[in-house]
Amino acid sequence: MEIYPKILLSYKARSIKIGRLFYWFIYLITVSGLSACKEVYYPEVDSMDNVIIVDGIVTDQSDRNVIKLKYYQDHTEYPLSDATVYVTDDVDNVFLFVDNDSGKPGHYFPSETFAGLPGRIYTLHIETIDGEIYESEPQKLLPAAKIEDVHGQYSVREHIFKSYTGRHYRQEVPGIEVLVDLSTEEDDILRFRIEPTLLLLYIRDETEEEDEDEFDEDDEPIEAQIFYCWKKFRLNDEANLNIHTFGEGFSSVNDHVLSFLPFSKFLYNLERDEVIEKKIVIIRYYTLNSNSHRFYSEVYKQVVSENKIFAPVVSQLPTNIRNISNPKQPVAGFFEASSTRSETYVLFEIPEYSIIMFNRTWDLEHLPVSGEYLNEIPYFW
Amino acid sequence: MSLRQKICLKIFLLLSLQMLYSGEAAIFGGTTVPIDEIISVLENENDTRIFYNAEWFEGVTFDQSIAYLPLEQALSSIIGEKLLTVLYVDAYITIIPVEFSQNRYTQADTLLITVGSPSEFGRYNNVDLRGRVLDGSTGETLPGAIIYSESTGRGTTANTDGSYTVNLPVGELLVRVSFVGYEDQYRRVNLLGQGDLDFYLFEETHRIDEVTIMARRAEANISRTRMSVISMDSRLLRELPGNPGDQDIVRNMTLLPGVQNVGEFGEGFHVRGGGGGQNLILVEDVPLFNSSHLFGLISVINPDMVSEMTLYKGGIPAKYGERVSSVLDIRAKPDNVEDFKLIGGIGLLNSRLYLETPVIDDKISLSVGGRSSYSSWIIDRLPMEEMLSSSAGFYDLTSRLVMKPRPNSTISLFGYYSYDDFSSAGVTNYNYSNTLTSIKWNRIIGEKLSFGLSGGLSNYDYNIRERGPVSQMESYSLNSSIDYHSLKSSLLWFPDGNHRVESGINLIGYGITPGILMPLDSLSLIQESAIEREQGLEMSLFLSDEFEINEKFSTEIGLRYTRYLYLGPKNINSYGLDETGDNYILEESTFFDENEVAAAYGGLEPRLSLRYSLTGNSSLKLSYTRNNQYVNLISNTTVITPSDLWKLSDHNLRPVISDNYAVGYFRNFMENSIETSVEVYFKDLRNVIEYREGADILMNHNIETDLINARGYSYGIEFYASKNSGRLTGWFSYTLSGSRIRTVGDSPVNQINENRFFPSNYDKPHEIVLNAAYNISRRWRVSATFNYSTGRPVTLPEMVFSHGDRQLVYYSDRNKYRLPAFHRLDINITRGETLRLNKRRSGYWGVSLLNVYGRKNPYSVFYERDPGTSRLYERDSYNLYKLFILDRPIPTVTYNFIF
Repeated sequence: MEIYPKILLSYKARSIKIGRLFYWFIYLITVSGLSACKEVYYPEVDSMDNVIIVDGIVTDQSDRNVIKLKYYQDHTEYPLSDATVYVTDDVDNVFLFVDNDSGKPGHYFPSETFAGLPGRIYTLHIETIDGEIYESEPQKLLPAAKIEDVHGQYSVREHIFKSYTGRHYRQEVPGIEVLVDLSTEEDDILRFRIEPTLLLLYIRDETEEEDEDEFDEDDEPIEAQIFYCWKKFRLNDEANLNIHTFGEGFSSVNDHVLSFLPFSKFLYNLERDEVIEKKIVIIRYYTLNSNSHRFYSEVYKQVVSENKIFAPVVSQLPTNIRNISNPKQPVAGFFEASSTRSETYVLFEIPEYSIIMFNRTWDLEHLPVSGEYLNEIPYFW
Repeated sequence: MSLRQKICLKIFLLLSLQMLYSGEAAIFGGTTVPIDEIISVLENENDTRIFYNAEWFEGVTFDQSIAYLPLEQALSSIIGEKLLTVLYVDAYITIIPVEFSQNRYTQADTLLITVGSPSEFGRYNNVDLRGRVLDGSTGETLPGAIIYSESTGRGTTANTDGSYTVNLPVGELLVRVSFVGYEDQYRRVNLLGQGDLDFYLFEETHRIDEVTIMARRAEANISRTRMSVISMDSRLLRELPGNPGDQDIVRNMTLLPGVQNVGEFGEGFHVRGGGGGQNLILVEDVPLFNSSHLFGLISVINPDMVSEMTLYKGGIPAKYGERVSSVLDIRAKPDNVEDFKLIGGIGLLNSRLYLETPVIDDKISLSVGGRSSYSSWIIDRLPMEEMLSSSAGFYDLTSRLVMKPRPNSTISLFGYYSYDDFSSAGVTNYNYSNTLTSIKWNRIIGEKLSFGLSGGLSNYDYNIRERGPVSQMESYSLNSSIDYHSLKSSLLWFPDGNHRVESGINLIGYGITPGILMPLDSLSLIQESAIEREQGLEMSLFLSDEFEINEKFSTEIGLRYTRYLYLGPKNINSYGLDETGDNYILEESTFFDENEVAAAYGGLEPRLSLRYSLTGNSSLKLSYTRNNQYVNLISNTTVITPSDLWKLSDHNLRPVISDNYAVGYFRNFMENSIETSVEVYFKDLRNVIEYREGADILMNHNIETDLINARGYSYGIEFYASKNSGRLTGWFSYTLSGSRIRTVGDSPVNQINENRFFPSNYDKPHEIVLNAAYNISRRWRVSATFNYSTGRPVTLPEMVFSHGDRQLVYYSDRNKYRLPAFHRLDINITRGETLRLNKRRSGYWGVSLLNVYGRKNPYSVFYERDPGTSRLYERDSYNLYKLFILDRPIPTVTYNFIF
């Protein structure tokens, strides 16, 4: 059975609606002669010093397992090193995670090659040097879903811009809406989250122009300075996940909105002499269990709850970590067990015929965030 | 005592009295005291009540020995040469100006009214004269008015609904009708047989200098059985400080003890810790589901249409039900129109016009009113690009037709419509509307019985249309509405002079369309979707009796029984928890056919009010009320918004039940010119609706999974003191209260704060209101209102942390913190209407200064994303903001007129 992204859309609609209400409220007050205003608010709240923050994930991929630990002190996060961290499964295997010298203090990686197995249940254990013991709720790792199709549709989105004078204004931005279909062979409800990334390939020509007035035949020809550049953008600021409804299990999701690719190159921070060559979408997706899905749902609600001036019920993030030695001590964060895959698609477009296609290409996730080749076409172009 | 001694004593007395009359303190060899002490002693010594205007005796003191003279002699000494006279009616004494009394009598001589059929003349010696006593200006009934025949010494007082029955001998009689604050009326009546005669009394505004008008009996707060009742008539409503642009009767209610709002503005109000959806706002017996224009800037009630509004905070009479927290009963005017009248006002935000006119004298009268904003006109002229093709505005229309086909029968038709519309750059449009209609028929049957029948319709509808809010793919329209149909009948019976028995049957039908989502155009990917419509039926019977047990005790006992049916067609879902206990799963779905009962609830709702008179000017009262509520306002925000939903109780959402207890002490001072009271209340609430973290109410097909049934209680003590007469009037109130709530779920998914009690959104422990008005002259008046309250509870971020690439917020427990305290001072200056008697037109200006000292009271706290730069996909940052509506003194001006 297919599920349409209607609920997701309604979430967005609500977000926009409340945002509009905000603007209207301000306008109305202005019009009615009142003087509504807002200012940053710094309330006095209880200290959260020494609370630990867990950002942990185990997957069925050996290079995607990390437990990040931090602690909170004076309104600042600090890496938590020297803890004993291990993951156990439901058949009594123990996998040790260590804070090695990766240059990322507080990041704990498997001491040996480790990849989770679908169907297994994993539990995170943490022992800090001051003797506090933390433990997660058991998390089941579900088999990976698969992408059935990626497609696009011409569309227009509104965007709030901020001018250099500091003034905000709205503008409609044309572009392509990227949609994806996913399915699972499992009987369970399909729950997933996606981390889409746009890989933008563009050319910058810095070849010096010849000065015709001072042309000299003896001069060496000007060497071309063509830069073949790329840079990556994370496409969703919000948590991108499917929202399921109650009812029968949904084993597939169609037309899930992945992201929006505007046409204007200036929105990608490109300069006037830079030309977009290709747009490539890298889709990293995770198949979630119900606990993880709930956590990311609340993350999503929290992210879209901006501008809610009518003081809505806030979205508190659930945690599945407990302090065993001191149960009253709060813990923030989440331990996730998910299957994950990554697929890369290149956009092919013939605007004259309104043709939009996404063709699968080789994996480019490993590319650095940005880079450039001088006068040499990179292998992945 | 020798003759010489007697003559000396008389001369001495005369001289002393002369000094009294000249307004100077008399030195009589003893202590001098003010008038109120003399009157107080006279009342106690002679077991009577004496009404007078204290200002006639301002600056005058009397020798205290006067109080021990025989009553008539003492009164004679007091009134002296002040051109006052004394009227004796039953056990009451009223001091009034001589010329006033004489004028009335002369006028009465010119008119002889025949009552009864000539064919009955001679058949009876004594017959019943009955009718009603009404305010001639507003048509309001005047309970407690005295109807008295001086020649026979017979009389009676009007009942609580203004009706009276007095047994008099046939023949020509002089009947006097009086009521405190109103001109006495004398009527020559040729009584031939049993018949009806209504009396219309008029206030004394233009007749007597500096008489303070009281639209209700001065001691009503002491003598009436009910407590926790707030009444405001049109005069008081007019005299309170203005809101931006206009008077706002709902807003003014929140200045009274036990009634709160959530901020500077905002829709609705909260009574004694209850939610906004727990208040029944009745306009001519039909409920109003959204009481605000423009997101709460102004209430939807046109103040010109209001005759009187009464708020029952507790001790709710048995004839009212439907909601658990309070009843606000708004009565439109008029019942009786004698002359054409046009009332209007021009304000900052809107203007209004109201017309009332007789269509057929004494038979049919009509009133029509309307208001309209001009904010759209202003927006069109704003030099702001964002406002191009934008609009924002509202209007409301009111009409009432009253017909009296027979003297004992009244039929009234009432209609009301309000509409709000906002459009942003032609892309986004919001609108919502209220539609109310009612028809009422009242008939007096015999001497002691009256019958009422009414039918009502109410509809609230809101619609949102987004043309590409994010992208064209997501253009949609969303519609939601609630329909209310009622048929109510009642019987009012006066078996004797002591009992007032009321009974009735109510039938209410609810229909709710929670949401219909539609794509706006072919490009939209929004799938058409509708949440199942809900319908329910609420039936109720009630019976109440108000009577005096003895001179000290009076009571009102009532019982209401309600039966509620949740009807199909409907799929009823049952939910369980998954293996993690973190998520609901659907266990079963059962379909119910059209009109099949899917869920049923009911119960008895006892009501009790008891008054014990301690002295003539003090009493002790208590009340108990149980209420059931079957329709709930679903709002996941602290502030009520136009897009909140109404939802019926069903299989998963049980009806809200409240038990309200209150006890109060009431005492008046200085001839009732100062009223004081202390009320203590406790409210126990069951099945209150709370919301899961991040609850979503918009187009949620399984909204019950985001709602949690909770328990709650609220308590408080309300101190109130008011001065109702004299140049300086006003009130002071202080409320110390608490409102707590807790969930009782057995899993984290249906728990909040681990099932611990936490403050509800409406918990404001301290609230102070000081209102004072001073009449500088007959036309100029200055008033000020100061309001302080503890900040409302709020859930705040305690920690911001990064998870992945995101910045996330760790929130505190629900409502753990509070916003800063709210306080504000408003002042108002009014230039009153002309005092000429035969004026064709009158008007008054009102100038207000809101927030005199520029306090920045937080309205709400919210997150906002800072766009940062003009680029897409750059990391955004979030900040916590507080929004305040008034951050500086705001002047407003209104002009009101009457033709």
